[in-house]
Amino acid sequence: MSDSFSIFLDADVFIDSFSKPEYVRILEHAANQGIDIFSSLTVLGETQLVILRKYDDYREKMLQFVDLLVSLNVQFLVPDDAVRVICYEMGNDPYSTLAGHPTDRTHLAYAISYKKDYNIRYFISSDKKIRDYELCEVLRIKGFEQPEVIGLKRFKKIHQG
Amino acid sequence: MRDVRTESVIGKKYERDLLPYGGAVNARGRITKAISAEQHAQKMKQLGLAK
Repeated sequence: MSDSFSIFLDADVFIDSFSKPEYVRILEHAANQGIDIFSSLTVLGETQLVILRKYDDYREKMLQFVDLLVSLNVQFLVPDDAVRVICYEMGNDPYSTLAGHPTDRTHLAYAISYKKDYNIRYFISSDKKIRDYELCEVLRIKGFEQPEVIGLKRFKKIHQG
Repeated sequence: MRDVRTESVIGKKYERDLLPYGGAVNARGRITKAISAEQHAQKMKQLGLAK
């Protein structure tokens, strides 16, 4: 694929996939298109906590979640020093839409840190706070960029027709 | 700075020490990507934290 890129999935995408079979189909299609699907250890942890908190049938949902991860070959980004520093800088911006939301900031920081390494073009999320987020100037000046934040249906429209 | 031979850890079972500069692991716990010492140094330099 000449225009090769990858995507990063936020926790809400995994949770929504339980009630929206279309989400699974879109992600399966993406995997079949050769798009690498990333997430982070923090998203993995948050998703598991949401499953345990939200569902009475959490055991079944957990198995469903794991099966989805395996079938899509989701790759989990691990922490590095750059993620730590980017998180710190993002947290110093009191006017951002993610002020007071360190978990969301951390998920996005992974995608920002690894964007160039793995060509992460999209951060897939339905969270408006993340969609409206503008990367702080101190990181922009240093050449960091955030992936475009879009919903899964928007991704489908752009890349799957 | 410890040198990580990126190719040598790909496919191995993930343990923290195997990815000191970052990378990725699949849902079966196998390392799929590894950031090299050089890539890491470049990123830290970009952040203004080069040693």
